[in-house]
Amino acid sequence: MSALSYDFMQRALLAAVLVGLAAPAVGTYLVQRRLALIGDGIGHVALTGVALGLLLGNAPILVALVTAIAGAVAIEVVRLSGKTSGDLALAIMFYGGIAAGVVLISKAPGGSAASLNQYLFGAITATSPQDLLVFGALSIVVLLLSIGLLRPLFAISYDSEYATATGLPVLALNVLLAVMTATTVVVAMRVVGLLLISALMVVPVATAQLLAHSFRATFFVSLAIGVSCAALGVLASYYLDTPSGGTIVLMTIAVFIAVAGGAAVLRLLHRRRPASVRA
Amino acid sequence: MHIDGSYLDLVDATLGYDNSAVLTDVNLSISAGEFVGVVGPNGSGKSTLIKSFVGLADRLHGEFTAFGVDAGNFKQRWRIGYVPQHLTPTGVLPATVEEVVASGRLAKSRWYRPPSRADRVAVNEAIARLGLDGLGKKVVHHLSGGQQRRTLIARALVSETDLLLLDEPTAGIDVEAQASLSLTLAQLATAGTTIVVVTHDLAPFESHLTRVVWVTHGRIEYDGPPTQSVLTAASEPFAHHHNDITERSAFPPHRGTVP
Repeated sequence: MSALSYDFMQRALLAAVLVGLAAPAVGTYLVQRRLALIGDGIGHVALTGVALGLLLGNAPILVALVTAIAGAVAIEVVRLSGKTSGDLALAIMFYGGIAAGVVLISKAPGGSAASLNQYLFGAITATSPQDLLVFGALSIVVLLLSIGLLRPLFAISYDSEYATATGLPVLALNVLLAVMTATTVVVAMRVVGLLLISALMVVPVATAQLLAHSFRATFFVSLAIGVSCAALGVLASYYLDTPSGGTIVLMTIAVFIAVAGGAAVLRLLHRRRPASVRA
Repeated sequence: MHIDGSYLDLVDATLGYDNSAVLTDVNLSISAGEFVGVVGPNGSGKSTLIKSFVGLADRLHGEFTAFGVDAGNFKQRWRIGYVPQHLTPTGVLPATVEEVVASGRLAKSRWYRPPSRADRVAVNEAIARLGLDGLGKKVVHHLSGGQQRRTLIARALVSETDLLLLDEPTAGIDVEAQASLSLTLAQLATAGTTIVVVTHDLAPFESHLTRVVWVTHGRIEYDGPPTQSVLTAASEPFAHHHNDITERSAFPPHRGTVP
């Protein structure tokens, strides 16, 4: 029987496609700003939100979203303050987030290592129709903002000082990007898990920049790689009976290695060709 | 106090960052048609001076008006183009000359709207004006230092700028590119753009300057025409110069006349 004949697999595939598009869309701006691991930090903070939701017996995804957004905005404020202690403050926030999450989950009704694992490493096949509706709406909003605001988000990511000098609302755009990142982290929680979300934000972008020759092309190529790896990773995890999150991330890394290896071979061949042939 | 025809006016201004003063007693006007060289040793405050013109440094005290409006309420930021000292910004992804120049256009157009036909025309014109024809699709950090600097100047000019501020524009580029850049700036000045260049070396620009502002130890030491004595003093090592600036009396008093 085909994987797609099951409802849960159809939902899993759709959720993977949405996250495969939204994660690299936000990730392109984060990589440009050298904040590739910020998604990881926000994931740590989001775990506290999940745990709070479980403890209160109330919509853990929604509480995780609110907590992640609050954490992302706080991280942005600390980062922009430019204080020398900013790095330490971020570290305390990240580790405090995951520590509080673990402790709170242990006190939640039905809280166990298994329930913790599904948030840390994803449980895509557990995606309910309601989850899909919420994730779909959030992913589409993030995707539309990433594409619609490509020029100003590029401007603040490429040269923040210059963007400030031209009068762009740099702080508001930075906070918006932080909110988009937090939303993507929470949406991707079911698909790849809080500990692996950064990989889906970063690795497709790292691959795309080897293939593309402009920021815009890098953005759209990373989306194509992200969505392909997410969809193929879900299907592969079904047939190989492996966890979906890890399978998706390994697939993005395999594509990166293949492209980087291919690029290195091409450079080597180009160098070995006699100058007269190259001319 | 706003003087007719002046773009920027600072009266008894103190400039700095986070309530920490870098420049004090600044009295300065920049008027249409000028080509001003701001010179001084490292750490003198000359970069802070032009950064304050675009909101990257703070006015802590005194008056500061831009185009006749108090700087705090000045909205037409596109009228002032800024070229930072760094060549390649911090990003790691490829960005083309067109993309970088187009980002300067956001100051003029509504940033949340898609680019209009006028925006695209302005980008192509700015690229051509800086002699970067044919390089629009090239990745900026693959270009030479001189071409990267020209890209950043095109970005600053694309919003139909009246006043162009450049922070150490000759840093990191070879002598030939410096001469070419100086000529391009002279052509822009002739075409009506007012130019302020912050530099530790006036030599590449000295034949085009209409005025020199000398900054030392957080104060404007000289503000006047580019006389031979000023240009000669500027060509000497600053470490030597600012030790005996007062003894040698190389300069007339602040806001001086031609010696």
